[in-house]
Amino acid sequence: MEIDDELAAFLQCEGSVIVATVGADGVPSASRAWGLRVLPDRGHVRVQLDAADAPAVADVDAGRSVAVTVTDVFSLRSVQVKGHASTTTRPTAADVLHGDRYRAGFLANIVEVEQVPEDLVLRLVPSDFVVFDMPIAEVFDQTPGPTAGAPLGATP
Amino acid sequence: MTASLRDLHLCFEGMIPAIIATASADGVANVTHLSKVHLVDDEHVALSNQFFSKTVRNLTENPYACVLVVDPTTYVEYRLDLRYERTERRGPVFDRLQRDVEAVAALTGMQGVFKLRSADVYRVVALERHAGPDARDPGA
Repeated sequence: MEIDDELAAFLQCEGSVIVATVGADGVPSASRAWGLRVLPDRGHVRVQLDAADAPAVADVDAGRSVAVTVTDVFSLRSVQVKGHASTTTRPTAADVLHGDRYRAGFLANIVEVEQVPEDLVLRLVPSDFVVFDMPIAEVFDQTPGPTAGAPLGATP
Repeated sequence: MTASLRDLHLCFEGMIPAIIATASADGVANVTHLSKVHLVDDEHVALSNQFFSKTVRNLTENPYACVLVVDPTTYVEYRLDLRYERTERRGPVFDRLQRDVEAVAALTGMQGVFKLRSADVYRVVALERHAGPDARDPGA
């Protein structure tokens, strides 16, 4: 499905990006993502994962269901997109640039909200990444509260 | 398990939101933040069931969940693999979670919106350091 400009901008808000994948046995894995870009067709997202997160990378490579939730750390507005990803690949030069920019923005936001030293938050950041592209099959409001889980529509 | 749940007690203070991943019976993933994971004892944690309905629905179909928690003093992240065990609607665990939910609701001016329906108790079947210094050091 194709998402609209507002949603595309939100998904790239330098907020918290978290990921769920599913193993062959149906057991889920949770991960953080370290960059998310809406591709020009607005029907796919490109997500950066910790290259050393073996369960998540294996699940993505197997083509099973993936869920990605983006949360604006200031407003807590959250949106979840779901689909089945393709295999992971090494980041391109553009991905590296985008990832560096995302992480700098996200860390600055966390430091501002949490009032913690940046070098402490930096400890969470992996040193190596892989990327995967996921077609956006479904979109949900995930903002905390009674409407969490409500489907959001596609571009008319 | 190289560390015990009680070693991670700071992760359960609610300073940094946790992350929970679940999956439906037909293998559809779901991921959301949790304001707090509650330590119950050496082998169990509890999650408040307010209205994270997709997570709850998934857990009725597939009892496994994966939670990431962060120590707010070190920013070391831990991965907990959980298996749903039981739901409590009264008793000390429920009362503790209810007090927390009410406190958060009062702080955010959302009394009446956030209401605890149950305390869901999970067995921690695996625990490992997931990110942070030495996360990939097998001796850590």
